[in-house]
Amino acid sequence: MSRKLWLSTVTMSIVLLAVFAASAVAKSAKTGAVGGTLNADLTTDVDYTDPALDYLQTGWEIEYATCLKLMNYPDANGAKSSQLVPEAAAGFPKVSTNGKVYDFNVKASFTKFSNGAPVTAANFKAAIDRDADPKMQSPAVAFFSDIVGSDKSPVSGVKVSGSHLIITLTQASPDFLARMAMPFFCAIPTDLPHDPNGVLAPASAGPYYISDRVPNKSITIKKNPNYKGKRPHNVNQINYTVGNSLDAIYLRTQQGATDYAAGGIPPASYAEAAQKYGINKGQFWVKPILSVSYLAFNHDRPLFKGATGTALAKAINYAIDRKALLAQGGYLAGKRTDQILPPGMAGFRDASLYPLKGPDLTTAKKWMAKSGVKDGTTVEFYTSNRGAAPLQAQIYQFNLKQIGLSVNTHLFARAVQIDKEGTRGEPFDITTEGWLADYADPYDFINVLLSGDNLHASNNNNVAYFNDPKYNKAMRDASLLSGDARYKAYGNVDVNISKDNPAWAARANSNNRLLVSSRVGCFTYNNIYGPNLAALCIK
Amino acid sequence: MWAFVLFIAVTIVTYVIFYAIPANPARLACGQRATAECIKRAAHYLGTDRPLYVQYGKFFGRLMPVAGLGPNNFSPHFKTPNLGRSFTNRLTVNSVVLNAAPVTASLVFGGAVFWMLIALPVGILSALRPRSLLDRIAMVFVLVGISAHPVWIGLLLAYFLGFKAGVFPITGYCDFINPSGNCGGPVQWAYHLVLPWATFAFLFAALYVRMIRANVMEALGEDYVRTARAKGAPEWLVMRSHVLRNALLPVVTMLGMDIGIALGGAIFTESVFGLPGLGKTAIQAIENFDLPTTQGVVVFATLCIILLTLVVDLLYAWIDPRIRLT
Amino acid sequence: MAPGTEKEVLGAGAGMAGAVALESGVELGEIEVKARGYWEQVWRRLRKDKIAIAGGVTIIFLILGAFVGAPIAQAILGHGPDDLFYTAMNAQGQPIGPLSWVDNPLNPGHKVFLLLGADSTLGRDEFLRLLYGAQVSFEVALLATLGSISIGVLLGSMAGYFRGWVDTIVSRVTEITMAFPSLLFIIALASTIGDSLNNITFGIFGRGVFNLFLILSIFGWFYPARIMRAVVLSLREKEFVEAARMVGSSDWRIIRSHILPHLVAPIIVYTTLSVASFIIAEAGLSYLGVGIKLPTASWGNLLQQASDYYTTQPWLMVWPGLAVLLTTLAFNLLGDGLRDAFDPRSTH
Repeated sequence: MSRKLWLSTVTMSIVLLAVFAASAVAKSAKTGAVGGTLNADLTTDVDYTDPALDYLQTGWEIEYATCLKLMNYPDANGAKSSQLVPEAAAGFPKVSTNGKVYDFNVKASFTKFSNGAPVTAANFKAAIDRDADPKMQSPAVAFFSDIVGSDKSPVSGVKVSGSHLIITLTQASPDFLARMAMPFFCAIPTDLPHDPNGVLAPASAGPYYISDRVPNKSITIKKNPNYKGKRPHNVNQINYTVGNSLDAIYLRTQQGATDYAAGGIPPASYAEAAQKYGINKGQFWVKPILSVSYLAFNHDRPLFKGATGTALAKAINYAIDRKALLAQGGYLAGKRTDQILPPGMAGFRDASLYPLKGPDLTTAKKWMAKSGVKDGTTVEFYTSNRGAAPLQAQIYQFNLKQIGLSVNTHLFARAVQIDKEGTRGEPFDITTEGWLADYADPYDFINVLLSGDNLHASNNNNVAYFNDPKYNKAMRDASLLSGDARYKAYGNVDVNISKDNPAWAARANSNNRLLVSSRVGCFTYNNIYGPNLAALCIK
Repeated sequence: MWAFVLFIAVTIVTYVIFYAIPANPARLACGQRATAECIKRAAHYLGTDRPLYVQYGKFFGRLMPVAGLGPNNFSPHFKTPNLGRSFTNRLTVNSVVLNAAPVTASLVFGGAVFWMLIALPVGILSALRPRSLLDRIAMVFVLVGISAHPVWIGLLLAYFLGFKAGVFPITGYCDFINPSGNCGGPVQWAYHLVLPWATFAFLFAALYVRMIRANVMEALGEDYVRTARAKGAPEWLVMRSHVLRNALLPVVTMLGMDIGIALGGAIFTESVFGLPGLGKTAIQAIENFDLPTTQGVVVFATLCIILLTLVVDLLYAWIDPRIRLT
Repeated sequence: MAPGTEKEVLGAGAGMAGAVALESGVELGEIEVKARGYWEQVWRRLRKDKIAIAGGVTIIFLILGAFVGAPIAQAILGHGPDDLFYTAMNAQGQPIGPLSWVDNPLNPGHKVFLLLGADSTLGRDEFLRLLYGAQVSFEVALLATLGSISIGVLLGSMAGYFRGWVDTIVSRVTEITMAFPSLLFIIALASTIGDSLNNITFGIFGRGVFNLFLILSIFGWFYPARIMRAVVLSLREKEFVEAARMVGSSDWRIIRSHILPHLVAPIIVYTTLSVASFIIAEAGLSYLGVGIKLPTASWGNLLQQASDYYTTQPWLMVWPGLAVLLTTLAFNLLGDGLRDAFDPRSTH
């Protein structure tokens, strides 16, 4: 999801995006006192505060409090927080029978922009047009390329008629609504300049707005005086300070000098924090992130082709030590897994396919024998040189040696790794990767990461180069379904691939590890955006 | 002239290093779901779709303080040198460098004051009383100072004085002028910098104690000192106008040079104590393949070193008229 | 940069090497070579300097420990420096402390002894990694010294002897290299093209050793070059060189029999001190993550790993730091002693 996090994602060392709260006992947003000022600390600044450019989790956390969207996620904990509800739209949109036309009725009299301007359908069209402007080079283009005329601004497939916003797609895609809830598409003033460098403090129509931002120094968020909607808006102001180190943030949060360690705390101190404050007892929150870390098998290479390749893929799935690998991410780093979809994703069902507690060498060797791969075969292994990746590389090397594979490790800068493994024909057999949900739909995992339909010469996300006609069709079919049938179909694709033809060895779903000061109350954790700033209050 | 050649060499090398690497900044700008369209747009905006010499030419044109020297339109005028915009967050590199520079400057110049405050008295006293207890302690300090790793000194200080005793803050930087929250103003600024200064100054203090001691001892043995003493000049006068004057002259110039060198050492101190200075900015920029920011720090650092060298030369010519500037 | 300020620029060579230049360079050039008796005298003086001898003995001991002791320790303990014992973690997920017995996950039921505890959450033997790290630190420091001094002596003495345009070019290149923000470049180089260089090991060195050797040689040659240039400059004005030239000796002959013997002393002194500074440099670069690559152990990357746990497991940062301190101290003491032995008149 976030670019920074994506860059370090296999390291799992950084905090951030989140999903699925256990049916936590967090206090409801209504019990907190209203008013006051909260402080938050960041180590490094967010890249952008402009909704068209912001693709960083810490930024999305802020946008969740400031943005007014057509559809949004409720201010709740747990599973409920990932179910879309209408926000600026009067209800769910009317969808044409062929699934291509979406008609939103925009009724947002409960709010105005922080600069006083009213919210109409035109503000949402403005957002899409701005994202589509080539000059903006917004990363959002990946998420609305199926709107008719999306390569030009204004986008011809987006029309305003009275209070209605009518969007025409080139093909039916049931995950469109989930995508429209991304901060890229939140209401913006129609005159917001198309400045490719981003606007620092754009007016917004959500419960809060960004009143000031000094890059690399501070971000000031204030209550939107014109917001009268249902979303909580408790504290008057939230001040972000940028530039303190993790150690300093940890100390400051404990002393109450700051209220929220938005930049995270030092990896070595998770255990201490858990001991001091307990887990999910008010100050130290551990919540799963909608993400997966995995070892991808390059199916373009002879090693992983055909039935013998499948046997080798299974052997590796049995041989790796998921427990030791996860331990490198620090205390409470996440949860071990052997499947593609993270547990918080709709459609996930636990199939218990491979050993999670440690290697099963006996079974692994059995599959090795079936694969016919000779003892001492060299495996070219790509990974990054950052965070825990080099440590994990050594565990992989060690585990695979146990089943007779000689691993040749190549450590790259993360950016170089992404470029190399994304290029078709690059001579690697296995590579470490991670993926964070862009939005809450299994399409973003299954089709994006494993469909053979969109393999290119370079910049591939399907770094397993997995291209199985049977599964390609299953993925296509699933993407056209909606509701429970969709999730069930995706759940089946997940289990079937993982079981019968493993494209990867999935190893873990990361946790978000958050620390807040003792005076922070009303902590609510949204599955999609993480800690809910709008709901926070002072005890 | 040589400064100019140096400058060109440094910037070209940076460009070539980044050109040689297989990472694509445009891909990074588009995030994990990068589409071909987005990458194309970003590459165009970042200029990475142009050949290397065009990119460098543009960079150079932006940086030069004079514009309007084209072959067709000759209208020279002055402008502010522009380092371009960061690949990562599209902020102007000028602002990034100007934000980070005061932190590094505080560290380096504060550190220099710190080490001179230690080195001057210790060096002079141990030269006056060779083989005394103070001299022996000073010599041990010198040996440990030049042998221990600065990072290690930093970690030990942070652990014992910062973490265990809690006397000084382990990390963080407070602005000298603009207070942000409870952190700001000269007192907080200095308080937060005590440990970094101490770490930073350790090695140099050791070197300077040794140098000052050697210089003072040498001066004490000179004929003119003996003559002055023989003539019955009071000891403090001999010290002031004969011994110290001659002994400290080379120290002044060396200080100028070492501050330039110390800029490089600031990277270690900044990374141990998490100070948002130039060193940390550069490391972060390199990790993110943010060429303009890296280049900006490199340009700035090179200019500082060139400038310091110049100042040292001038200063020396001023103190010692025998030196002729050519 | 204004030429013509040679004297003080040499003195202001800055940093540690600058101090070395100041103290060893110019004066050493004035030593009279007295055939064999000279070396005997030097040795006699050095032998009396107990501190220098202690430094030398420590160095021999450390090198033996690194290259002989490490394999022996490995054989006795029964595991290697890169072996992973995931069991070597305490309840908080931190590396286990010194003097611990942990389960061997490869060989259930058998225990493994970790003398100084685990190096990180991977649970490798900190003690063995320190010993093997010493190998790497010595390799880097010795190779880089060899490289930088070879280039430095060659260029420096050429510049000093031939003067004229050779001198101009060498001096300018030296100035440019000195003013280079070298640390930034090293980091940029290492994190971009360093990955491919790291794989050059010649079968005997650790990953990253060759890379560091190149980098440190490229950015380290100018100190010896400046010293050598100054020494040769003063030598070529001496009577014995004049005399040799008058009787028609060739440049090559003069260099070989009149100049080179005089360079031996400063080279030896500088070499000793330079090993110390390169050991520190290796540790620094590996600390920043651009030096020796894991899994190969070096004192620098041990220190780097330790900094992750410095509030909870502080002893981890103590060992590699102490090792660096001890080693560089020994080299510095020996270097100081050698300088005094070569030139008893020098004050320091």
